[in-house]
Amino acid sequence: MRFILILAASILMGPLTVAAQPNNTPPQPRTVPGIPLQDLQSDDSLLERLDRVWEGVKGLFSVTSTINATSQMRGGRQEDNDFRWLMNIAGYKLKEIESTVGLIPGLGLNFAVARELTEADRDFVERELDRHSRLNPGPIGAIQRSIVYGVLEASDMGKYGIEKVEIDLLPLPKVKILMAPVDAPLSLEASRVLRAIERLNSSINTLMPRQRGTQLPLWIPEDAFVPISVPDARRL
Amino acid sequence: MKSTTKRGRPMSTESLSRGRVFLALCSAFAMLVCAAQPAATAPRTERDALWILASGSTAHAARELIEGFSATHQVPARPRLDILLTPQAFEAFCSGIGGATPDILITSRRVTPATRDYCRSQGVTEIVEVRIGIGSLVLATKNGDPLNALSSEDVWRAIGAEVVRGEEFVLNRARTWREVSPGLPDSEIRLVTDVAGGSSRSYFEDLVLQAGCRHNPAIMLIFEAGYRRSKCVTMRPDGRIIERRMHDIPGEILRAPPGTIGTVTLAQVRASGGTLAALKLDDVVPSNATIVSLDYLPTFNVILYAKRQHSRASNGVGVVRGIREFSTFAASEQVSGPDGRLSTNAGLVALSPDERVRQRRTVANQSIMSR
Repeated sequence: MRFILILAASILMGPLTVAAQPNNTPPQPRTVPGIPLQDLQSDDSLLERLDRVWEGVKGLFSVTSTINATSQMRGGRQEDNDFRWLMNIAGYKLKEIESTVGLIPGLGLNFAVARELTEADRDFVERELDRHSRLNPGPIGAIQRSIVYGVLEASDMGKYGIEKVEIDLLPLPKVKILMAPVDAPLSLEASRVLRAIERLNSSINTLMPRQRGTQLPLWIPEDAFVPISVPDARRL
Repeated sequence: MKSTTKRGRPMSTESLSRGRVFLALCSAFAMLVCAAQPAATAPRTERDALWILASGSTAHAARELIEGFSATHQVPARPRLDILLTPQAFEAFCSGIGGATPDILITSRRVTPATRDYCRSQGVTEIVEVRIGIGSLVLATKNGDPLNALSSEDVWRAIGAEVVRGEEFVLNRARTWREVSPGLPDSEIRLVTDVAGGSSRSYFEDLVLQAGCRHNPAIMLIFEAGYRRSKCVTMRPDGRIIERRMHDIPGEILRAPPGTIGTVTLAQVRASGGTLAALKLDDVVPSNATIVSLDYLPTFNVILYAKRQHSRASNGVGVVRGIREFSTFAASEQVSGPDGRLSTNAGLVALSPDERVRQRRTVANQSIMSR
C-alpha cells in the first residue's frame, strides 16, 4: 500500500516538478530524458492488416479519388491504374457508389452508359488495355481488364444494349451487366414524351408550308427595330 | 499332298477355288489400298495460287510478303493480290469457304465481333490471327520549321471544321498555329494529307483527330457515335487542307510554306534523307521504341488473317496449298523481326520479342482466333 502511494505521488508530482522548473535554468543534458518516448504501435495486428487489404481494394478500383501527382493527364491520358478511367474510355461513367454499413458491410459501383463507341474509340480502348496489361500485370489488373473486355464484348451484341454495369466489391466480388433489347417497349412516361415530340413535329410541319416562298425570317429580333428620332423621321 | 480341313476331312475342289478367289480378292484390295495411299497424302486442290486480300494501308507490306514468299518457296503460281477498302476486304474474306473465296487477309484493323459473327454465318469458322508488325502515322514538317511539336488536341482545333466555344460548336476560323495555342509559332495553318478514302487519311482521322477531340467535355457529352465522329473528323473546307496521294505528300511538304504539316509514315521520314522532320505528338517523339511501347499513339497493328479451313483437305480435296507456309514465312524473324523484310522494305516496326514468339507459336499451332 505504501509502495502504491509513493508511486502515485511520483506520477502526479513528476509533471508538476517538470513544469515548475524556471525557464532560465540551463538545459538538461540530452543523455537524461525527461519523458520516455512510447514504443511504436504494432502494425501487424489482424485489424490493421484487414484495414490495409480494404484500402488496397478500394484504391485498386479507385472508389475514392486517388488521382495523385503522378497520375496527371498526359495528352488526355491518365495513368493507367485508374479503373474508372478505363471504364470511361469504354463509354461508361460512374453513376453511383453503393455502400452498406452492417454486420456484413457492402460496397458496389454502378456504371451507366455514357456514349456509344466509334471504331477508333474501340481500338483506343483495346490499345489502352494492352498498355494496362504491361504496366499492371498482377491479378487485380487482370480482373479490371477482364471487366472492361467483358463490357466491350457485351456492348457489341447487336440486338441488346448494356444499360448498367454493377460491380460489387463486398461482401463478395461480383460483376453484373444489365442488358436490354434495343427495341424494347418504352415506359409510359417515355412514350408520353415521344408522343408530345411527334405532336410538336406535326404542328411545325403544318405551319411550315405558309412560310414557303417568303424570304422573311420566322422571327425578327427586337434589336432589329432601331427607334427613330423625330428629326430623322422628318428627313425620311 | 492333299489339302485337308481342320477336322481332317479332305477339301473339295470347289472350296479350294473359293479360297483362291478370296485370297485374290484380298490381295487386289491390298493393292488398291497401296495404290490409293499416295493420293491420300497429296489431295487435289481447287486452286494453284494463294488468294490474298489487303487494305490500302497494308498493300505495300502484302506485296513485300508475296515477293519474298514467291522467291523462297516453290509455288506453282504466284499468289494473287487484291487491294480493297477495309470493310469490303473483310466482307470478301468472310464471304464463304471454297476456291471462289480468298484465303488470306492482311489488314490493319482487328476483326470486330460483328464481322466475326458475319464470318460464322457464312461458314468461315476457323480463322488464324497473326500480328506481323506495327505501322505508324507521323506528322512531319520541312526540316528547320519552327513548328516541331503539337498535341492531338492542337491538331483537331487547327484542322477541324468546327471548334467548341463555350458550350456550342462554331466554325473554325483560326488562321495561324498561335491562334490555336499561344506556345506555337505564328505561321499559317496548312495540312497535306491523303485523299479522301485513302488509307493514311482514315488513320489520320481515327488516330489523330479523334484522339484530339475524344477528351473534350463538349464532345464527350454527345452520345451517338456517328455524330460525335463527324464533329471530330470533318476538316475545314477553306483551302487549308491539301489532298495528295500518299507518295506525293513528302514533296508537297517540302514545297509548301512554313507551318505546313503532312501525314506520312515513319519510313517516309527516314527515306527523306533529313529533309523532313517528324513532329513530337503529345510530347512523344515517334521512334521504334515509342511505337513498340504504345507510348506513341497513332500506330496500328498489321494483322494477317488466314482461313484454316482452306489449308485442310476434305475427302481428298482441298482449296489451296501454302497458307500455312505463307503465315509461317510472314511471322518468321527474317520477315517480321527488327531487321526483317517488313521493317526494312515496308516501314513497319517489329513487335516486341515476346510478342513475336507468341505469334510464331500461334502459326505453328494454327490456333484459331478465340476472341
